[in-house]
Amino acid sequence: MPGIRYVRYIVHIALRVVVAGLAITTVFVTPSWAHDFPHTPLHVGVRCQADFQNNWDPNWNNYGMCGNFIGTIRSTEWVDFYFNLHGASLAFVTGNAAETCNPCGGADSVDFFLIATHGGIDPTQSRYAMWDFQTRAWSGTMRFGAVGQQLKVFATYSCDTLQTSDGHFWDRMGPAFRGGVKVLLGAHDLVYSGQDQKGTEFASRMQDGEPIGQAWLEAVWYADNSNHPSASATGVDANDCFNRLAMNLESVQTTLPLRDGQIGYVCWEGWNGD
Amino acid sequence: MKMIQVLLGVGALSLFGTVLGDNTVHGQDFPQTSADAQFSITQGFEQSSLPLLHRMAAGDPDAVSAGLVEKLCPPPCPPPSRRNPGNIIQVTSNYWSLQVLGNGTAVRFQDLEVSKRAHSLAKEQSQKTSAAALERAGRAFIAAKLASMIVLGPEEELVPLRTDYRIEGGQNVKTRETIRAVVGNRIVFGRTIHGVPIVGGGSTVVLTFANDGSLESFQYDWPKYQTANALPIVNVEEILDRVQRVIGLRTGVPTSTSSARVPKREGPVYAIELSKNTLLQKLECGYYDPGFAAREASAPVQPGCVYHAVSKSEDGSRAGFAGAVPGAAQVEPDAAWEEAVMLRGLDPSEKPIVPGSSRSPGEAGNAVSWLERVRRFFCRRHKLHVSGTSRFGYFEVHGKVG
Repeated sequence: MPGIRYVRYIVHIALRVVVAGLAITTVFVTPSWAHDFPHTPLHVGVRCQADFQNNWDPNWNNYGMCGNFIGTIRSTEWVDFYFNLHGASLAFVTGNAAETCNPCGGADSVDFFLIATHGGIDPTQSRYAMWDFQTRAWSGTMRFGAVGQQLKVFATYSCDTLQTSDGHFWDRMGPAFRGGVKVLLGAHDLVYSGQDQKGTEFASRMQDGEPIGQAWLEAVWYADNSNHPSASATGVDANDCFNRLAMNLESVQTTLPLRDGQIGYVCWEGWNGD
Repeated sequence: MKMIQVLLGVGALSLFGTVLGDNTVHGQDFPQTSADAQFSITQGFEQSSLPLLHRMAAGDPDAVSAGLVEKLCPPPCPPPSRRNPGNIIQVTSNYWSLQVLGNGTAVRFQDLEVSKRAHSLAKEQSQKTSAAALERAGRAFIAAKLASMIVLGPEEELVPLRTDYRIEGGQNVKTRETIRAVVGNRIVFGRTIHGVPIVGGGSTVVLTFANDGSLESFQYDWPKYQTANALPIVNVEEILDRVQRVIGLRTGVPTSTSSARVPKREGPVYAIELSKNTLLQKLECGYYDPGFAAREASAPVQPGCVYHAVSKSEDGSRAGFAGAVPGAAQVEPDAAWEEAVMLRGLDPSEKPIVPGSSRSPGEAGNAVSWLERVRRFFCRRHKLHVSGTSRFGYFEVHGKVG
């Protein structure tokens, strides 16, 4: 009876489509009960590294923080990836194909990027340790926010990379800012590993509508009062800059980026000095 | 919150009269905190035994929330909205927000209006509010608004631990002219029980004031403690040995062959080498309580020492390590206390999610195109969906967690 077989086949296919549809609905639409700050979801990328090839840098385990951040932020945003920093340096280099490639964990393939790794500074660049032996990503080769998904927020749980006290902050972070990235988060001195709840608190505060910079400063400081968190932004002038430093998850998407010559001022805020 | 400004503004401003000429804008410990830290690194604990403590709720969370709203926004206060997302009570108005966590022992408050105007009240760093003025303002606020929550038991004391300052800075990128200013003044109070400090972040009241004396925010973790059986305490050599072992395990770098050397009691405290390129900066011994959000609710509060250590690579990159080691000879089970688990030789019950590896652009190849298409299709749909609503979605396209 080919007719009945055909009907069975059609019904079978239809059922599969319905089941698949239900599954997709379940996966794609997770309701958020905890927060009522309405905003368009951002694409979030997270890259964290605890150990380093042949111990070229000491272990610095922040996977708890990164996992907690993801566990909370994913109720309101799209977490595109959670990657380590193996072979990752090119994902931060302007003009490299990896920079805008989402499966490659590229910085400009998402709106919001969080990394946790060792950090340091030279007079003209900040550096971020990759897993690979003696390999770093350098701020001098970064230009965020100009291509791809146009990165809006670059958050780094790393020591020192946003140091301002030596007067070279713009020398170090200017190249990244000139692409149009709106908010940089990090530390102007030491930050400590441990107290993983800061990942949860950072995400939760942003979801409540707090300014992104404030959410970072408070979450990182409250996790350990000896931390030195810092948040920075750019503006046409000082007034514009401090207004932009107060961007939240919605306004960071609607505020126009400032690039190259449009930037007249850079500003920052921090606890425990600046 | 307008009410708070009116009630506290005048009083607090008078308290803020004293301004020291000190230009230091880094956070600073009060003298007793520094003395306690010095004692810890040279002698460990003063006591040979200390009891375990059990954290108890001071009242039910609804009562805490209602009591605080009454104090912070007395009638005629516009009725705030109240929600219960998860284990939080969230009370908000257009001007302020209050969150009561879990069993009511932890609370967070922020005055949104004061936060917004903090920038316009910026002062030169030399005019930061002094530690003494902050202590007076903090104690006055606690007495006026939080007295029913910040209750001290027998032989307990509220003690100032530390001040900190929120600094704003800016630079004209063309002229390179740079400015810096203080915009927030913060004080941290802690608790001692029979003279023994609670260390680790729990049992604290943190208050932040704008430069006009208005309260910008406060956050506290304040349980009642019930004492249980006493445990013998280890000496300072053993404490330093534990710190050294833990740092070795955390950094993956072998510890120094010799034990960490205890500094001389009379001399200035110096950093202790724990392993190659890793120094112990600070040690604070007492009852270790990291606070409601960071601890296992059922575990007892045990004697412990909070450590801060820093490693420095050859290129000058630094990394900080913070945590706490148990101070008692016998370590009680506490699944949320990483070092207690390590030193008992156990595997942590909850392991964090380890990130996966990314692809190279070449490997991504065709996979990118269809995955990206799916992602963007759903993003478009999603963005249309959320217009006017607060329901959001989540989907991991790549690098699935776990």
